[in-house]
Amino acid sequence: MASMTTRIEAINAALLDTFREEASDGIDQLEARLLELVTRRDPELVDQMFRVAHTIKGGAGTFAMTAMTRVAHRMESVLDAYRTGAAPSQAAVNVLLEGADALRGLLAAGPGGGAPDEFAALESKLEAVAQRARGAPEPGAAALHGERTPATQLAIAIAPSRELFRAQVDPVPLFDQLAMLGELSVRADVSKVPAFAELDPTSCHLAWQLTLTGGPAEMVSALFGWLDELCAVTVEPIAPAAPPVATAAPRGELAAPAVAQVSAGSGPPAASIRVRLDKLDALMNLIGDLMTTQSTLSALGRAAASDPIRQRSALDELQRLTRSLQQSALQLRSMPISSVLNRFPRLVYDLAERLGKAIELEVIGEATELDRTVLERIGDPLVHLLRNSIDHGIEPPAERVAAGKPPAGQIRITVSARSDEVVIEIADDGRGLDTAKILARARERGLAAAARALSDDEIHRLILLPGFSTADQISEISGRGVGMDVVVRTIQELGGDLQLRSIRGAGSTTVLRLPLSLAVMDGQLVQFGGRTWIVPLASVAECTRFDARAITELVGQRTVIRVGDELVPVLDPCARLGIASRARHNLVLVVEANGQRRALLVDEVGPRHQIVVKSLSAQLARVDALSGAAVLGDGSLAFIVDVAALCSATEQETPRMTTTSRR
Amino acid sequence: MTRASPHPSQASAPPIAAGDASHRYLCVELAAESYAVPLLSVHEIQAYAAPTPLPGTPPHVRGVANLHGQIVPVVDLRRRVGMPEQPYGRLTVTVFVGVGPQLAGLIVDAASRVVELDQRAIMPPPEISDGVDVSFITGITRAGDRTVIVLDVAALLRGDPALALSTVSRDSQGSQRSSQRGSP
Repeated sequence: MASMTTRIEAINAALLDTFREEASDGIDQLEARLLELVTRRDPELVDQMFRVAHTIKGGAGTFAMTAMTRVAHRMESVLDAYRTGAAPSQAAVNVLLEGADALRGLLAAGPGGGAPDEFAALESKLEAVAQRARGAPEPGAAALHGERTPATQLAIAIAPSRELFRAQVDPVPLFDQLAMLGELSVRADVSKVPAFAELDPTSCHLAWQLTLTGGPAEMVSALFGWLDELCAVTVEPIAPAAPPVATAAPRGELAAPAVAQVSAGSGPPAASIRVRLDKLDALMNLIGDLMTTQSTLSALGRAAASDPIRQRSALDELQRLTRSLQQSALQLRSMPISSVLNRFPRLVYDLAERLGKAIELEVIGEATELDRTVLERIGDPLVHLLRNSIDHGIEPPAERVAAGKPPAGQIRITVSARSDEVVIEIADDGRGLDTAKILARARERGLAAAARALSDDEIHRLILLPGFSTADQISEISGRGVGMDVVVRTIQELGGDLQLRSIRGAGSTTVLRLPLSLAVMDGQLVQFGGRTWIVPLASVAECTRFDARAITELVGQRTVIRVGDELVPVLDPCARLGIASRARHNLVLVVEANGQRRALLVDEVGPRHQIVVKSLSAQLARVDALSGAAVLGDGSLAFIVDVAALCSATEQETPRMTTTSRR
Repeated sequence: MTRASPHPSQASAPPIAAGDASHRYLCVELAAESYAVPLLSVHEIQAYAAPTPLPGTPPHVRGVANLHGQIVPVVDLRRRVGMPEQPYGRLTVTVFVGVGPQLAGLIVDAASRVVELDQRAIMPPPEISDGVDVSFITGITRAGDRTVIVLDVAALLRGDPALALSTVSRDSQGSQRSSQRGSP
């Protein structure tokens, strides 16, 4: 019997999982449509929302998630009342959004979580909204099953598998749902029930035929859709006895079919699969080894004397194959950034409401793909940057108008992919950064020496230091002073880069650059300390011959070297890493991270390779200034230099004499 | 990297009883002492090859090695348990042990045999007064005619501040930077 119980539990768990996934998508859709409603009156939207709420209600009912069923039912009533085309008010939309939040919470709590009347207050609010919506006399105001549902009859046949009861599914609540759609009659087919002596009461030998008058076929299918594996359900219209009654449809002028297009971002979700990350990592490891083998073979092959042409082409083929394998594996790891950006419209809406500001959010490039690990971690920093823009950047409408700007603040998020990196820009047209205030606060906190004159750029970067905040009161939204430095650190840990641009009075832009893949990168091999190291090619600005005369020692401060028309602080990587320096420095490698440059003194600069990045930190506590390792063609290991760590080692001593030309 | 051939003594060892694998241990030698490591935790034994030194790690961490695509830290077990260092010899091997998904390599003088130990016969370690850390020793027992010190691999790795298995807070990252500032 133990195995039977586990099997039941397994089926039940699987069903619950399916419901959860679909309900979660449904709630997201509801929310997205609600936000669209704010700017666009479209009865088609309301219709879609009604159907979603209905499906969620059905599923929740089957799992006896009573509170969820009740909230969904109320929302359904509200939406139904608005299906006639009357536009929902702002207040109504807000209450519905509350409902969506409640549904999310209840979905997460699962069956058995929370009391059935947990959201009684919300239910009353929803009911009140529904009453108001219905109360206003409208020509041809629909009853619950309005003129959109002609009086067709549907024959529904339900043939469940034997497992139905064992999977803890009770069909009766579903029949109740159907009964709410119209007139329902149910007939049970007991022809397959065995004699009592042989009856196993846990097996389902029943089937049902139902007749439903007045419900749309697709809603019925939606109700049973998620029970696919356990029931065969067929729904067929019965030929109507009389021609369909064409009741007057006052909303005809709104039902113009040409208009019923939803915006590009809200179509049905693309098919997706869940992939276990450890399987992918194993695949990446294998591929890494394969690439190493391939380069070894490649070298051997070139040396061999026999039939070089054949060997050469075989090796070329191998190379092509491994590259394609690598690309496919990398693509498995990527997902569009829209999955992260999806929650932003809601966030902006809520914050704007709360702060009494008007904000328009534009998102460009949400289909751009990023590595999953990056996606998982980029959400919070982006939210923080967005909140900063809304809280500190965008001015209240009156102030904006006084400044000659449109009353609604504009925030634009642009995501674009370049050859090996993704660039995310968050731009607002708000007040911009107040350099005087920033400088004063920084000096107050001892984050900047009082005597030194700093460029605007340098002053802007002061806000990235830990413990900084110019908020006069720490608002609950932002300004706690723990934000920007954590954002910077997260971006750095992802191998990326953050830059700020701001013009007082006009607005601010934050630019994030992130590597396209954490698993593979273009590396520049360098030699110092008698060993080979790797510097990410994206961080290399230039490489020049070392000339002792170009070094300037600034009194008491930093050593800088003149590179072109710029003075760049010098860094000896051997000293920084604590290893012995073996040879004379011949070359200077200028690297850049987070808008800062350093001149590394190296012995040799080697070739550039595409390398497979191996993580160090899984096994070892975080190692300073090294961000990973890679296997070179000869099988040896080389470590990857963490350029951001090198560049920010002396963050608080910004170099004095940089004549920076903006990139 | 080649795998080590079985230690000569293994050829004359008594055949291993087909018992529960959780009672089987690999014996490794450090100077005159035998240490036992649970066999289930042993992933691989390789002839010693110098790992790639990793700057900024304590002296007992010799570096990292590439074990089938995964970067694994390699620790000198002698130094880790506080014994004086010895040059590596012909029989020196690296034993790769794992705790869950985490791996580490232990450099030992030799790997000898696989023994079956009775859990009830493992005595708690005596008080050792010369400051040697014994938190990773499960106990002491006898295998055949030899005294064997049984190691708790999880505790050994967990207690190592250089390894991520430790519970040392990562906020030392900030102080690491300031203390390792190189002179420009």
